[in-house]
Amino acid sequence: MSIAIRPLETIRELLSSMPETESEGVVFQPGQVLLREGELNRKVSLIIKGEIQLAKTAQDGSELALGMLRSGQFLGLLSLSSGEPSFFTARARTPGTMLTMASARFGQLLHERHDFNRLVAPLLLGNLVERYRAVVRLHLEVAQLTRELNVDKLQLEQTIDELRASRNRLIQQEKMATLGQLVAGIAHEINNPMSSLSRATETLADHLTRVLAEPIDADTVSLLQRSFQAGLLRQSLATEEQRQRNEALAIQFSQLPRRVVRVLATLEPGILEGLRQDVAGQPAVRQPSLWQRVADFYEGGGLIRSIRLASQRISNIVRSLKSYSRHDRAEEAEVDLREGLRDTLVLFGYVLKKFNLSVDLPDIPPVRCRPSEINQVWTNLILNACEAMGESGGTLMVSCGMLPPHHVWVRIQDTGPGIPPDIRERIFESSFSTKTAMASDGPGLGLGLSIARSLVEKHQGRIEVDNAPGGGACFTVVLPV
Amino acid sequence: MKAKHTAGIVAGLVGLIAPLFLELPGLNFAGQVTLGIFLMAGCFWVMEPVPIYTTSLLVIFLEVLLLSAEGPLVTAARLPSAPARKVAVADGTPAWEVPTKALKNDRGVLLERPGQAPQSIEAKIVQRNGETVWIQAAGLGESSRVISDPTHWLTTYKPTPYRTFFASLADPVIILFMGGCLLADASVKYRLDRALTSLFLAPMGSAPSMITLGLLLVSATLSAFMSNTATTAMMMTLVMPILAKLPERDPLRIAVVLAIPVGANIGGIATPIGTPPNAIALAALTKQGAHLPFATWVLLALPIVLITLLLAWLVLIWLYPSTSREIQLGFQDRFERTPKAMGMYVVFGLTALLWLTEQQHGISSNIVAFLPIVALPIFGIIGKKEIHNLPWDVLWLMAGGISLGTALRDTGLAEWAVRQVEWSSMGGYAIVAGLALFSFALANFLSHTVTVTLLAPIAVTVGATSTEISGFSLANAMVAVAVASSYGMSLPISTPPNAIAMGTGVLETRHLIRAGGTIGLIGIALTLFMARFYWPLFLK
Amino acid sequence: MSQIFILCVEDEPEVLEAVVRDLAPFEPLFTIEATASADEARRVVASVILPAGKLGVVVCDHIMPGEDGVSFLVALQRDPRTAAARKILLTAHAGLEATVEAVNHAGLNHYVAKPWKAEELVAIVRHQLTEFVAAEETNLIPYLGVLEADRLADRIRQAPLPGDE
Repeated sequence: MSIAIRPLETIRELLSSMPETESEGVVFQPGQVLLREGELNRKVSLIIKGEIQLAKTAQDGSELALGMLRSGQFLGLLSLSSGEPSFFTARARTPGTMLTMASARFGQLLHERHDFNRLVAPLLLGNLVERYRAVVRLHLEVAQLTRELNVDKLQLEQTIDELRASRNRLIQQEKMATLGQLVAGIAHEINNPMSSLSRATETLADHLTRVLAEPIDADTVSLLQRSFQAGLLRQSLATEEQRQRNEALAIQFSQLPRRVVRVLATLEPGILEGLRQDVAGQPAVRQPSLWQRVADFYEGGGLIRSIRLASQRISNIVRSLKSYSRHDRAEEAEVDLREGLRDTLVLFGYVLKKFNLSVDLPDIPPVRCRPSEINQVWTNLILNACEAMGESGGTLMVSCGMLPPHHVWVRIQDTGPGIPPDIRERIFESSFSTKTAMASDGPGLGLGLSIARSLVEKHQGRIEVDNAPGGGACFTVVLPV
Repeated sequence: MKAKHTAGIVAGLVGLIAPLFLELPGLNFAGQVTLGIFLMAGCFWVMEPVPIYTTSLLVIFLEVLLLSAEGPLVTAARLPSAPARKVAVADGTPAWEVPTKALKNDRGVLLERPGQAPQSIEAKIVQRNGETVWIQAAGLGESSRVISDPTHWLTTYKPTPYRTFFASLADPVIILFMGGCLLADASVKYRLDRALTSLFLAPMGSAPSMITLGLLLVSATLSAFMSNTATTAMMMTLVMPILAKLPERDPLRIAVVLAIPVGANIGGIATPIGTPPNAIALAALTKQGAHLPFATWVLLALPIVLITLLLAWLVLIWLYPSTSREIQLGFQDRFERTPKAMGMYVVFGLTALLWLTEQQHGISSNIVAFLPIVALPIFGIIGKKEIHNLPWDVLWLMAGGISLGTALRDTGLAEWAVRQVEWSSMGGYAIVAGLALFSFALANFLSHTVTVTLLAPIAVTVGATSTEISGFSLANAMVAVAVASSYGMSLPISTPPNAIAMGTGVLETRHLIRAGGTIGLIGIALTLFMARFYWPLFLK
Repeated sequence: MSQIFILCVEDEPEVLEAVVRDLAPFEPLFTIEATASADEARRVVASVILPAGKLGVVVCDHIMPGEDGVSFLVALQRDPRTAAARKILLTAHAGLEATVEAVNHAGLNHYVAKPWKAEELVAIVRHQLTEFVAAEETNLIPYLGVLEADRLADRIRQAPLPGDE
């Protein structure tokens, strides 16, 4: 059974015709504020015609529109029921009229006058039902919105994950590129001692075969042993000097083959003199072949020395490599930053060969950090410096120091063209690269410096760039101790 | 270097001018000039301040300039002459008035004959009239002219036409030699030399001594028709693989590297085209009217060549015995069968056949030489490249020698030179032997060709005037000189094949001196023997 | 017969020694000069090699302090006195650009990567020396024992030595 509501016009007529209501007809214009939020309200109104906007002020001062009241709806019901100050601000939106009476009177009449009650109550009820419906609708809407919001949120999270993964991949690529450079650098570094090693070993094999084929006379044993020892301890001569000694000896030893003279020219003069005296003590006819044997034994010692030196060099490189790449990425340790710097310089010796190197690394306190990440920073900065100096050579300056009270700095400076001021900040942006497609290993990914910066910042440090007074760029990394 | 050059040039110039200042009775001006040219050429050829072929051309040039009928010297010097005027004499016999200075030795005058040498006629003096004299002489006629200076050099020298000197460059012997060169080049082009090497060495097996013999024989055979130098160069490229297989200390390396120049030098003796000295000897003989057929030369030379080769082989394997047991050679070149190669074989064979049967068919070997010269290019067997590669320097060198011989004969220098020496006091054979020994000695230090070029005129002069000397045959002498020169092979400078062998770095000079000297001495000994006993059988 | 030089340029002393040792079989027919930088090599070419003979083969590293190997080779190519020399790059790494430059402007004849095998290097140098000698020398016989005999023999056959015998 539904409760019938009388048509509004009828209600109005009836209400107007009851003086006890002390109702007034109020005409309102658009924009007129009929109720102000927070103000006490002792009136209740029934809207006959027109529309009234209900609004509430939000936390930030903006007005939130909360609904519209139309003809047949009561204004001020909440105040009526709870006596609270107005919940809303009511502002007319269109011109209209409403019937206003005092809330107390309204309540009283509702209680006492049955005909009033009969007239108004269904309206009231209708209003309330209407409002309830509106609330339910609102809930539904909210629920729907929330659902949609959740979906969006999910998608957003996914996208963020993908982006993160993407960035990680790029970082990996950059790392791989650096690694590639590192591997290439090591290959170069190792190739030279490897060549020397393998050649010396091969030659030594032939050498020994030849040397052991002829028996050694007892009276020449000590002479040949001395030659061998001299070979083991041999120092390398500059080629200019070698050439001069060669020419000088070629005259003295004109009867010996050129190959033998060249070998003897690398002997220290004092030792050569000593050997010569011994050889002179032998019969003249044996001397040429004796010199050959001296040269052979000396060369044998020299070959072994070459092998030693080459293996040492290779093991140095391997040691630097281990040190450079030790520790898991996540592991933190207290390290002396200088070790990492030196390792990087060793590993990339091949690239640095073209340039002069100036290294000034006084004592600095150890820094707590993830060494492999920090090493990546050094690698990046050093390679950039070399790249900047290009084919024309230059000087790379690596230095460090303390920045009291709690920081240390590392500076890497080159004598390249420097960085124009207008891009000085932009160089740290990802995908910013000055490496064109013409560079020998392709266009730059542009991530190097951005990653370097983020790695440094991860360590609560900072990285600054400047142009050096003499030209060239200067990168300073500051890290907390 | 510079000093040596300067010394050579100075010596040559001195030699050129010196005869003009010397008292050389009996030698007229032309002879003096020729002697000067000869001395200059000798200095230049020996000391080599300028290349040898340049000297040869210089010789021809000077001869044309100074001795030829069209040359400025001759045309400027005209024989003075005067007409013979008929005068009447008391006894009615015709008498002639001529300038007193036209009298030669008071006994005769020279009658000018246009286009010919003046004729010497007897004259009886009828009356002296101071500047003129009346004579009676048979042979004078109305328009006769007498030479008013009987001692003028042009009276005793009939100027050689310049054409003759120019013609030295295309002397038939030069053509003969050129034909031989083209045949040789064609052989190399179609790898005949390689094929022959494989052919000869295959049956030799793998014994080192037999390999040495094989190399000797191949080198000799090739150099009989190729230049000794080219033969040595070719063979050197072929033996390098052999050397690579030998241990470093094996004396066989030395024997092998020596066998080639030795074989080449000896083999060159076998035919007239084998080496320039032979050709020069032939040219000189032909000029003297003693033409030596191709086949005859071969007949004369082959025995000495074979014997020397055999003895050379024995010397080499005795001096440098191998320490290896056997060597696998692996020469496998075949005779080419392409149409052009076949054509080459045909031309070669035909030419050789015609040369060897010269006496039977009567066509001179010089004419036969045109066969390869014409046939090889026509059939495209050889081309421009081979023509360009002809050894023009050698051909010019030979031409120089030939023209020198011409001048020596025409100016009377040869006669005069011979008259200076009492040849008759020596036996004919002694002269031959002396010349041969001299040739051998010189050839050890000088180019063989130059040696023969210098000695041939001397031999010729002796032969020209002393046919009465018993036992002397010009042909014998020339052959001996030529053959002996090929045996001068003891030093690196003796001959280019030796230099090439030294250049391989396998030999030391002492190896060459020992082997080359020994074999050379054997060779000259054999030459002297042949000149005494074998060659006179064929040569008069 | 000219004196022909083999020039080695390498800044690491041990490697330079190894190269010179490997090329020893070519002495004494050829003379080996060892230098440690492009600068020094330049000086040696001007004061030792060119006055005495010809530069036959250059074996050169690329990455060196100072002037790099390819630039040096380009300079050698530009100088008419050394343009005929055969050029070999012996290097651990030369980028593509540098190698292209070497091929196009320096007339690079061979690229050898480190580390190398002795037999390889010797064969390559032998081949390059043979080409040089065949092109630049008239008297080829002395080289028959050390260089590629077949190639030289062919050349000799095409233009046999002139001689007056």
